[in-house]
Amino acid sequence: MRRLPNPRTRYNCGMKAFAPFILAIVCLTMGAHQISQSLADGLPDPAENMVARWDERLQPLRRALPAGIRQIGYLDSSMIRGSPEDFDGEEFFLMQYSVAPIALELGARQPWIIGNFDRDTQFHEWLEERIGNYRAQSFGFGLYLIQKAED
Amino acid sequence: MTAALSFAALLPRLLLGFCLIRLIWRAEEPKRLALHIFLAAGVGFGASSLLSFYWIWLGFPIAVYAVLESAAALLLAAWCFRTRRISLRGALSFRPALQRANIFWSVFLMTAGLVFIINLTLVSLRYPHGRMDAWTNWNVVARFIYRGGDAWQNTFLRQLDHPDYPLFMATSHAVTWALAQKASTWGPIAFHFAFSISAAGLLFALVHALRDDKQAALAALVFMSQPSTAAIGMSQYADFPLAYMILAAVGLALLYHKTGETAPAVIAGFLAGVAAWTKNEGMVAAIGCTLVWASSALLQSDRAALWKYALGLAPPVTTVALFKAFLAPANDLAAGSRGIFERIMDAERYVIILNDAAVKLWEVGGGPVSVVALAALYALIVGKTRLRLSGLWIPAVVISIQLLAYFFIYLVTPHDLQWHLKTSFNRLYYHIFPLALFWLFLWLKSPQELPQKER
Repeated sequence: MRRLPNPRTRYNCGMKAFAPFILAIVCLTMGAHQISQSLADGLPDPAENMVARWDERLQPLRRALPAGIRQIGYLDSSMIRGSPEDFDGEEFFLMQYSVAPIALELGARQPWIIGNFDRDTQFHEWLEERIGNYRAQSFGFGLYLIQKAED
Repeated sequence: MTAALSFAALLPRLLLGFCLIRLIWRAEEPKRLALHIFLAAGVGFGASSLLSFYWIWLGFPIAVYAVLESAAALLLAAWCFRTRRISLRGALSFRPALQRANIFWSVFLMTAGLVFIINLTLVSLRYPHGRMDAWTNWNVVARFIYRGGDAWQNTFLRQLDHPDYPLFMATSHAVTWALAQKASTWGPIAFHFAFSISAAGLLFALVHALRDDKQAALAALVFMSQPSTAAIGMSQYADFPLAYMILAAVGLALLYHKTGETAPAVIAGFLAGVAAWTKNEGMVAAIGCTLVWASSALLQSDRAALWKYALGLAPPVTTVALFKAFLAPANDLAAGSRGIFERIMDAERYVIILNDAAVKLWEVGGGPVSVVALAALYALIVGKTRLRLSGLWIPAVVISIQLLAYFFIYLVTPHDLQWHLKTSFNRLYYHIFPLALFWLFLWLKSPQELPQKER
């Protein structure tokens, strides 16, 4: 006697057969959704990227760095104010990325120092106290290349 | 123009990798050819990175190395063609194999590939310098090497980040820039583009070699469609190349387990070693892969395979050992070893880590629908394959070792635990994500296995 197929088994088999296609379609939809989300604000412009703009802004300072130095000092407003909790690590790393192959050293120990100050930071007095005579060349945006003057 | 030059600058190393693989592993079947193509990135960039490191360590300029290496790669390719180690006949035989695949799956796969390429492009346009870790830890070192000349070792004087990280990516980018004659963002973009495509292709080729074309297409499609795959691939971190190395070393172990072919053992050993040269976490992967290769070879009483694996593993592992012993400063985690016992005994840390692990696991794919939920549901519906495939314990062991090592690192980290988890866990899962998909799709029934009658 021929047995009738169990409708539940047929349903399960149908599910199984279509499952790979459903998985593929769901995944493709996710990929497409990601494209639409990325394009929601228009096509990204690489030149508008924050790191690209920083790197571009740093070019004059990089060109002004003396040849042959291995390390350069780095000061920011938090050091002048004596508030280490305000130290901007991201700007430090951006600066390191831009001035490579010269390694940044926190503080004013090196003969050449990069100053990265905000507008309100009164750094001249601090520098005179710590390092004596110096020359500072401004590159705008609060960026300075500072050279300790030889006595 | 710079973009085209940067992509073109990768070709000699891809060619070098492909030729080295053909010299070591002569196999003409189309399934093997796909593997050779997608393994070329790991072998080519791996060999180039090791040699260029020794070159600059000896004080020679990277630009000279880049030219010599490219010339050597072209000569080697010409010799391989002449001696028929590379033939167009082999390449053409790949086409019929693809054509046999169901039209639906070919269309799905091509659409997924296109979507993947668009997503990779959009991420690289948005982040041409990569995400934060790329310019703080990886690409910055490439700049030291390319711009620094014989003063490249200034990179070890860097403060606040990780100057001890190995140089696989840094030397690779520096060689690209030397060939393109410009430290352009396109160099790292081209490199990560090549690795992203190679990782997806390798996943396809491995599942194709061990199962069938439809299952391979489905595995590659799931991998390429996850938003995180493109995002992490083009973040320009070392996580994606590391995931590729782990997938390759373990995938070749399974292939050896199934076929008994010992030629891939050299390549597997080499790529496991290059994993350690890619990222510190790769050392755990190298140990895990070596354990499974050793167990597998000993179980089959095949010492020849083990020796071949060791032969491949030795150059990169020796390089990592020399780098760590003579050049790299102490790692930040190793430096903060005080108080480890207290951290291990702190029960709350276990709860925090496991809780975060569960949340991040759910978010692995980064899409609106969790890939973990999708995979679990799909596995429940289609079930385990009826085919007998030995060696499925191999990926499980490597994944377990990797996860246990990460758990331990979080447990003893001297950094703030919440910060450490927040900034790294999702990327750590990606080290094993392609391998986990590979394992899953070997274990599951393929679309081909679902009987026609049932449809």
